[in-house]
Amino acid sequence: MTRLSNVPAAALPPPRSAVLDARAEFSAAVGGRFSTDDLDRLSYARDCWPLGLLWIRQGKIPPPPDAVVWPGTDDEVAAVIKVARAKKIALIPYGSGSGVCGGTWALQGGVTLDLKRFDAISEVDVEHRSVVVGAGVLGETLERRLNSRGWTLGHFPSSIATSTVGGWLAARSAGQFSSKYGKIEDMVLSARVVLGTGERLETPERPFSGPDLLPLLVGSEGTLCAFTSAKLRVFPFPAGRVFHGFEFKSVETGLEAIRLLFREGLRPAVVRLYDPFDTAFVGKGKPGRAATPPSQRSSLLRNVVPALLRQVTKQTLGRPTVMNKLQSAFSRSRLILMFEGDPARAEAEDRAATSICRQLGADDLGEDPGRAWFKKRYDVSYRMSRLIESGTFADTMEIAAPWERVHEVYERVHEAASQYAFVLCHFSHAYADGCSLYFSFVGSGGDEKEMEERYHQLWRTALAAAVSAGGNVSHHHGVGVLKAGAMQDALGEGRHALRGIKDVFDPDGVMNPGKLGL
Amino acid sequence: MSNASLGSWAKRINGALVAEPADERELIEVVHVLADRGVKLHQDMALSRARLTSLSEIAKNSMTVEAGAGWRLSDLDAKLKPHALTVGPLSPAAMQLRLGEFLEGPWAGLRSIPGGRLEPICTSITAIFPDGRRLETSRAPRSAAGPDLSALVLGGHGRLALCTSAVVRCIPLPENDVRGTWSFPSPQSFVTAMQRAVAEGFWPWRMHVDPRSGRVVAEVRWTASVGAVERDRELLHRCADAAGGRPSGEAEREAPVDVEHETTWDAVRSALESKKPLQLFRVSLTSVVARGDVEGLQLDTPSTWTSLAGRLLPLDARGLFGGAS
Repeated sequence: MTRLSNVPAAALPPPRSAVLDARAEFSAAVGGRFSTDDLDRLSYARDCWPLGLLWIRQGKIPPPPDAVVWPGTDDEVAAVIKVARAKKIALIPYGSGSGVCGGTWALQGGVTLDLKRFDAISEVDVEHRSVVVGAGVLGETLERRLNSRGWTLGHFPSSIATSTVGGWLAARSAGQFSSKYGKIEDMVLSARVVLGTGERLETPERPFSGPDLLPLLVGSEGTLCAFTSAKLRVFPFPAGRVFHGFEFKSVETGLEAIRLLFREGLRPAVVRLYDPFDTAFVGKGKPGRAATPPSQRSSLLRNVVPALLRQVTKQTLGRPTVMNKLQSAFSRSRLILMFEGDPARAEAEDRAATSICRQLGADDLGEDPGRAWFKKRYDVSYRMSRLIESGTFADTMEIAAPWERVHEVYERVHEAASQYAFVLCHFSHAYADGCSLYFSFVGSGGDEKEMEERYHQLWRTALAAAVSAGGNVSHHHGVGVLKAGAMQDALGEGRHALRGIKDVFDPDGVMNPGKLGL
Repeated sequence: MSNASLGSWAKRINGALVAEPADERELIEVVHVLADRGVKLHQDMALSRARLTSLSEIAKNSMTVEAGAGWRLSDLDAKLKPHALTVGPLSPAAMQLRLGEFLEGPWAGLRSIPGGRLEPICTSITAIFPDGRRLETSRAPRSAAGPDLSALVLGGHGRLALCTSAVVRCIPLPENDVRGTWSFPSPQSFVTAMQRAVAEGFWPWRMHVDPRSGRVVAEVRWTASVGAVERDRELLHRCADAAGGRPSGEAEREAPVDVEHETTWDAVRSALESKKPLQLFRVSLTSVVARGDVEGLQLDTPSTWTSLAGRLLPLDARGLFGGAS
C-alpha cells in the first residue's frame, strides 16, 4: 500500500469495513483490478470542482472512495454492480474527473468505477456517418482519430483534453461549436449502458415506438447507470472556416444580433458575445502566445508570480463590489462568429450575418478576433488554475434562458454575485429561442474560511437570481453536488418523477448517491 | 358506471365513456377520481383534451407561445400567421393532429431544424402524472440539469404522463415559396447528396422524389426567407453536382398514399430502388418522414412500445394510464 508522506494520516480515513469485506468479490468481478491503495483513493477523491481545489489548498481532502475498480467489459460493470447491490455499497462512475460540480465526489465512500478501459473507437461508418466510441475515450483522442480519417465530431468542450465520452453523456456536455453541431445529446444516436439493476442494455435508434430512454439516461450523472459506449454522429471535417468579429455599442445590441442571426436560419459554429468588461480586458483576443500549462511553467511563474498576485488579489478581489462598479465605465460588447463546413455556404452565411450586424450599427473588426480566440480557445482552464494558485477562488456558472429573459438574467445574476466576487460574462451556445450565459467569478477573502463561506454564498445567491429571473440552473456543466438543491427546487413536483425513475433503474440506491439530490 | 357520478367532465360519446376536462385543474381531478374508482384511462375511459385550448401571449423574441394540448396544429398555425410566425414546416398529417397527440404519439413531437438535427417542437412541457402531480419543464432553450423529464411525455402515448400544455417553438412565417428540381443517376446518389446537404444546413419543407423514369427526380420545395432559400439552393446545387445530379424539369407530382412513416435514409433508398415514389418531410440526418410505400414507423397509429421503454411502466404503478399500447 502506498503511504503518502505529505498527507496527514487522519486526512484520509481508512476504507470502510464493508468494502474491505467485499474485496474478494469486487476483485473477482474485475479480474483483480481493484485497489484500496491510498494513492488511488486520493487521486479519485476529487474532480475539478473549484471547491475541491480550495479544500486541497487548505490541506483538506474531499471524501475519498474506499476503493477503485477498473472494469473493461459490460459484464464486469454488471458484476461490480451486483456486488454493490448485495452489500449496499455506493458506486461512483468515473471518467477522467474533469467535472466542475462535484459529480464524482464519494459522498458516502464506496467504490469508484473508473471506466477508462472502455477505450475502443470503431472505424467511421461512412454510409451512416457514425462512430462507436467507448465511454472512457478522451475527447481529444477521439477528435484526432476522426480528423485523421477526414471526419469531426464537432464537440469541443474546454475540457476536451481531459474529459471522456462517458462523462460528456453523464453531464449533458456542450462544446464550443454547439450552435452548429448541437450538444452531446444531439450527437448520440444510441448508447450502451449498465443500469443500477445490473442490466445491460443498448438504447434503440430512431425510428421506434414509445418513449425514448436515452434522454432520461443522458444527464443522469451516474445516478441511474454507467455508460460503457455510444454511437455518435460524425460530420465531414470542415472544408472551409470563416471568422468574423464585431463590436456593438452595448451588450443588448449584441444579443439582438445573435437573436436575429438565428431567426434568419444562420447556424454559426461559434457565437461568443463578451460583456463590456470582458470585452475591454479579457476578450480582446489579440493574437499572442498561448497559456502555459502549470506543469510546464518556470519556477518564477510557479512560485514568485503567484505570491505577488496573492497580495494584490486580496486587496482588490476582497472588495468585489468596488471592482464590479468599475465595470459601469465600459459599455461596448464584442461578438465573435465562426462559420464552418461547405466553404461557399460558410461564406454565404457570414455575408448574411455581416449584414445583420451592420444594420445594428456594429463595427466590423474583421477576422482577427475570431482567429485569435480560436488559437487560444482552451487556455481559460489554465488561467483558472493560475487564479486558484494566487489565493483566490474562481468558478464559472453556465445557465440558459429564453431571449425575453436573457438580459434580465444577466443583470440580476451580475448584481447578486457582485457582492461576493468579481463578475464577468459571455453569451454563447445560441439557439433560435434563447442562449446560454457563461459567468466567471473571481473572489477572495480574509482567510480560507471566509473565502469558502463567500464561495457558498455566491453560488446560493447567483443560482437563486438566475432562476427567479427566468433562467435554468445548468446549460452544460451538469449538477453534481453543487447545484443539486437548486435543481430539485427547479423541478418542483417533477422531482418525484425523477425519484421514481431512480427507484426503477437503481432500486438499491447504489449509483452515485447524493448527486442530483438523489 | 354513470358518467354523472364521476364529474361534469365525464361524457358518453357513442356509448363510450370519455373524460373531457376543461382545464388542467379538471384533468388533475379526473386523475384522482379515476384512481379512487379504479378506472383505467385509455382502457375503461377515453380522454379528450379538445377543451384544453389556452393560449398565451406570443413571446416574439424567442418566437414561442404556450398552447393548450387541445390545439389542432393547423388551427394554432392560423392563429400565429397574423404575428408572422408558423409552427411549420410539418407534414400534412402532423398538421391535423392536436398538440398533445403530436407530442405524445409516434411523432414524439419532433421537428427538424437547420443542420440536420431533430428537436422537440416545444421548449417546455406541462403534464400530469398518474399520481396527480404536475411536471413543468424549464423554458430555457437547453439544459444540463439532470435527465430530460420531457422524455416521459414525448412519444409516451399518454401512458406515463398527460400533456396539458407546451411552450411551442415557432419559426418566422416564410417570405418565399420556391421550388427547384434536380435529377440523380441513382437512389444512392440522391441519398448521398441529401445527407451531405442536410449536414451543411439544407432545410427543405418538402420533397417529391420520383424514381420511375430511370433517374431519381427530386422536386424540392422551400418556404423560408429569401436569403435562406437562396443559400439552400446554392448548397443543394453543389451537393447534387458532387453526387452526379443536375438541375431538371418538373417532377411527377402524383401524391403517394397518405400514410406517413418515420423512416431511415436506408429505407428511402430501398423504396426508390424499388421504383416507388415518395414525398419526404421533416428531413434530418437521423430520419425522415415519408409518404409512400416505405418501411418505417407508422405515424398515424400508436404501436407497441420497445421492450426497453416498457421498463418505465412501473412509474404508473397502478396502471391508471392503461399501460403500454
